[in-house]
Amino acid sequence: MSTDEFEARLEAFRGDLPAVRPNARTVAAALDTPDCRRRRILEAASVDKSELARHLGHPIPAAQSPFALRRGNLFESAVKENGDAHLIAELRKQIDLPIPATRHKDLSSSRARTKGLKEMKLRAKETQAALSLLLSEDPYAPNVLDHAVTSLEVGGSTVYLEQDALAHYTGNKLYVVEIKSFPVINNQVDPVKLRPATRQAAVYILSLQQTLARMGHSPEKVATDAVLICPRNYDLTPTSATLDTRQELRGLRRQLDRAASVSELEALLPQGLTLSAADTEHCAEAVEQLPNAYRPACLDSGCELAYYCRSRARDAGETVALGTPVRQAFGPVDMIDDVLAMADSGIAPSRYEQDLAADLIHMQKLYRAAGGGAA
Amino acid sequence: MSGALLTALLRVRAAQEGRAQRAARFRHLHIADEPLVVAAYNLAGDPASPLGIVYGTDRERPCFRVAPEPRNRDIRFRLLNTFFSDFVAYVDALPEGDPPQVIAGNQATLDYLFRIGDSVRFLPVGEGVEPETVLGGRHLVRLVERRQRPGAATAVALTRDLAAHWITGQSALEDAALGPLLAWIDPPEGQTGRGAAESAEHTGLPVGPLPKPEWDEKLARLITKFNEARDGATDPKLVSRLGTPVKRMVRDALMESWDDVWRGLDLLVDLPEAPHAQERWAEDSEDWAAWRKYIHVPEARLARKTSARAAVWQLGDREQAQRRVEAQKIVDDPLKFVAAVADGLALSGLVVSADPDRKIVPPGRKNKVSRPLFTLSLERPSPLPLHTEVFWLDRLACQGRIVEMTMSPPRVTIEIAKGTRRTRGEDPTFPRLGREARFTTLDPGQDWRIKLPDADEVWTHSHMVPETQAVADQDSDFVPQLPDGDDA
Repeated sequence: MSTDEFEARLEAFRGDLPAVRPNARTVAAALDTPDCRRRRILEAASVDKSELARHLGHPIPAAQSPFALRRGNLFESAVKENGDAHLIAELRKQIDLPIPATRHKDLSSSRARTKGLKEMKLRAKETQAALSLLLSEDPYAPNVLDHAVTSLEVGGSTVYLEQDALAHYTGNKLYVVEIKSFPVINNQVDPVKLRPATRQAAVYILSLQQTLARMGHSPEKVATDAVLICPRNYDLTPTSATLDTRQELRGLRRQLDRAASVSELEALLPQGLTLSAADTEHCAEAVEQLPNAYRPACLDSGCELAYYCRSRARDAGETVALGTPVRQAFGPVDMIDDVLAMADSGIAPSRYEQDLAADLIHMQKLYRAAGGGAA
Repeated sequence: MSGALLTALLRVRAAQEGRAQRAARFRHLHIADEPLVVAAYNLAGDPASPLGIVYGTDRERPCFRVAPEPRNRDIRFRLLNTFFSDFVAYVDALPEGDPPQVIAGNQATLDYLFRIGDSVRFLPVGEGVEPETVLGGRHLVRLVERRQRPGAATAVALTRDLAAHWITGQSALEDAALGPLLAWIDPPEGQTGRGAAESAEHTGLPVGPLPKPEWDEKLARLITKFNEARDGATDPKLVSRLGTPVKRMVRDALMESWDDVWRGLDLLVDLPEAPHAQERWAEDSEDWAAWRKYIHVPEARLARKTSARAAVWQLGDREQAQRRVEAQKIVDDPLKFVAAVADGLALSGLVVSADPDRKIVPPGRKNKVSRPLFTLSLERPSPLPLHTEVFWLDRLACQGRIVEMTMSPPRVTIEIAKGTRRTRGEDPTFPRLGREARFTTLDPGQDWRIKLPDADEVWTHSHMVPETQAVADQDSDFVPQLPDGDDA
C-alpha cells in the first residue's frame, strides 16, 4: 500500500471527528508513551483526541490557566524588549555571541497577510531564506531570528513549528533558544517542568536539522545544546542555561522513524475501522480495537485519552491501574481477581508462581493477625 | 522503601473492596497540641503570588486573607505582612520547648509555603516589608526544610502521611491529591472509594496551591474587573471594597480545602501515637530551640546554598535518621513489621532452642566471650541469607548473625555478638525459649559521625593520611571487628 493510500485510510478511520495538527508539545509528549499503539495511530490520523475523550465521556481538564499563559507572554516580551536586550545578554553568556555582531530579524508575521497553514508555509519559506543567507556567511546576514518557523516530518505529514527565537550563528553553530516562564529559584529548576522543556527543545532542534538537510546543508551545523531562558527567583529578571538534548533527540528520532513506517502502522489499524462523532458506543468499540498500554503515568503525559483508558483499566480490574510496581509485584498475574484468588487460596496459576502464592498466603495471615484490614 | 509486596497486595485488596486498607496500627507522626493548619491558593504561573491563604489552630476560627491582585506589590505585601505577623505570633505563643508544626494538605502546598518564605526571608525591612515578615519567612523555611529529615514532624504534607498509614485502591501517583485520597480512606455513606475518588477528582477543586484552569478563567474575569475599578489605586479600604467578588470566590474554594485538611488531620489524630514518634518530636524540639537561639542573634547569617561541608553532614544525618525511623516503625507497629517480613527484611519464629549463657573463644583470640545462641522455627524458609546481621526487635542493641539455616523444617540459628553485657547494673535480656522472637536486618544505626578535613586547612598542606596497617597479620583478617568492652 502506498503512503497516499494509507493516508486515505487514516482519514477514513478518523470519520467525522475533527482533525488537529500536531505541534511541538504533542510531538514531544508522545515520547512519554512510546509503547502505546493506540496513541500512535490516533496521532497519525490527526484525530482531535480531546474531542474524542469528550465523546467517550471522559473529558480532560483544561491544560493551562489564563494566568500562566499571560505570564508566559509577559516574560517573553520582557526578554525581547528594547531590541532583544536581555536575549542578547543571555546569549553572550551562554554561547559567546559577540554584541556588535548582532543583527536581528523578526519573522513573527509574514509580509503576505495570510492565516493558518498557508501563513505557516510562507513563514517557513521566509525562515529558509534567512537561514540560507546566514549559512552563506554573508557578513551582513541577520543572525538572531525571532519566531522562525521550521518544519518536521511526523508520520508522513509535515508539522510546522514556531520557535521562540531561533538560532544564532556563532562558532559555526546554530542554536535553538527556548524561552520558558517557570522560575529558577536559588539556582534550581523544578524537574517536572524541565523535562518537557528539554523534550520540546529537542523537537525544535530536530526540525531545524531537517530544515537544514532539505536546504542541502549539514544538520551538524545545529547545536544539540539548546539555550533555555527563564526568570530568576521571584521576578521577571531573565537567567539562562544550556540544555543538553542529545538523549531526547535519540528517543525522538527513534519514535519518529517508527511513526513514519507506514507498513507497521498499517498492520495495527484494522480494516474498515471508523470513528464516529454521533455514536459513542461505536466510537468506544473502535478505540478498544487499538491496543493501548495504560499506566498511571499516562495521566501526567498529556495524553487526552488518559482518563478514558484509566476507566477501562479499572473496570477490567487490571493491576496496572494501581501502578507499575503493583503490576510487577505479581509476575504474570495481572488481574485483580486473580491476585486475590491466589492470595486467598494459596493456589498458583502455574508452578512458576508457587512460591509467590505461598508467600502471599503467609503474608496475609500475618497481616490479619497483626490487626490489618479495611480502614 | 520497605513494604513493597504488602503494599501491592493491599492496593489490590483496596481496589476490590472499594476501601483503603490499613498499613499501620499506630500513628508514626507526632501531632502537636496546637498545630497550625494552612491552605493556600497561588496565582498560576507566578512562583509566589498568593491569592488567598487560610490558616489557624482552631477549625472553627480560620483566619482568611486574600490579595485580589497578588501581582501588585502593595496588595501582595499587605497579605504577606498579615500572614507572617500572625505566624510569628503563633510561634512566639507556643510554650517553651514546643516547636511549631505546620500542617498542609499536600506536598505542593508545603513546597509553596517554602517558596513564600524564601521569597521574603532575604528582603531588607522597610518599604512595605515588616520585620515580622522577614523573620516569619525564615521560620517557615526552616520548618519546611526540616521535613526533609526522615521522621521530622515540623511540617506535614497530609497526603504523604495518610498514604503511609492507609493503602488505597488507586496508584501512588493519584494518592498525591488529598480529595481522592480521603475519599478512599473515608468514603461517604453508600459510596465506594473509587466512585467517591473519581467524583472528588472531577467536581472538587484541588487542595492547593494551584486551582483548576477552568476556575481560573472565571477568576481572571473578576480580577480584570477589579483592576479596572481600582484604576491603579492600592488604598486598603478601596481594595477591600472592590475586591469583594474575588474574595468571595477564593474564600469559597479555600474553605473546601480547609475542611479537607482538617478531615485528614482528624483521621491521623484518631490513630494511637507510636512510642517512638514522641522521641523524634523531642529531636525536633531540640533543633527548634537551637534555631531560635541562632536566629535571634543580630549577626545571624543565612545561606541560600548549602556549603559542601554542611551538605555532607546533612546527608549523613538524614541517612542515619532514615535507617532509624524504619527500624523504629517496625518495633512500634506490628503491621509495619509484617511489611518488613514480606520484603525479606525481617523474620519471626518460635524459639525452639536457647543458650543465653554460651561462651566461646573466637578464632585468633585468647579470652572467652559471651555468644548466646538461639534457634527459631519459622513458617516459611528464611528470606535472609546465611551470615546476615540481625537485630532483635525487643532490644535493638542485641545484635547478631545468622550462623545456620535449614529449609525443611525452616529454621535459623542466630548467634548474638553485641549487647551481651550488663548495662546500668541490669542483666541483658534475650529471646526466651518457647516464645515468639522477631529479628530484623534494618539497622537502627549508631550515632553517625564523619571525619571531615579541617575547614581552615588548605588541601595542599593537609597531613598525609597515615597508611593503614594493611594485611600485616593474615589470620587477624578473618576475625570480625569486635567492639571494645562487649566481651565478657
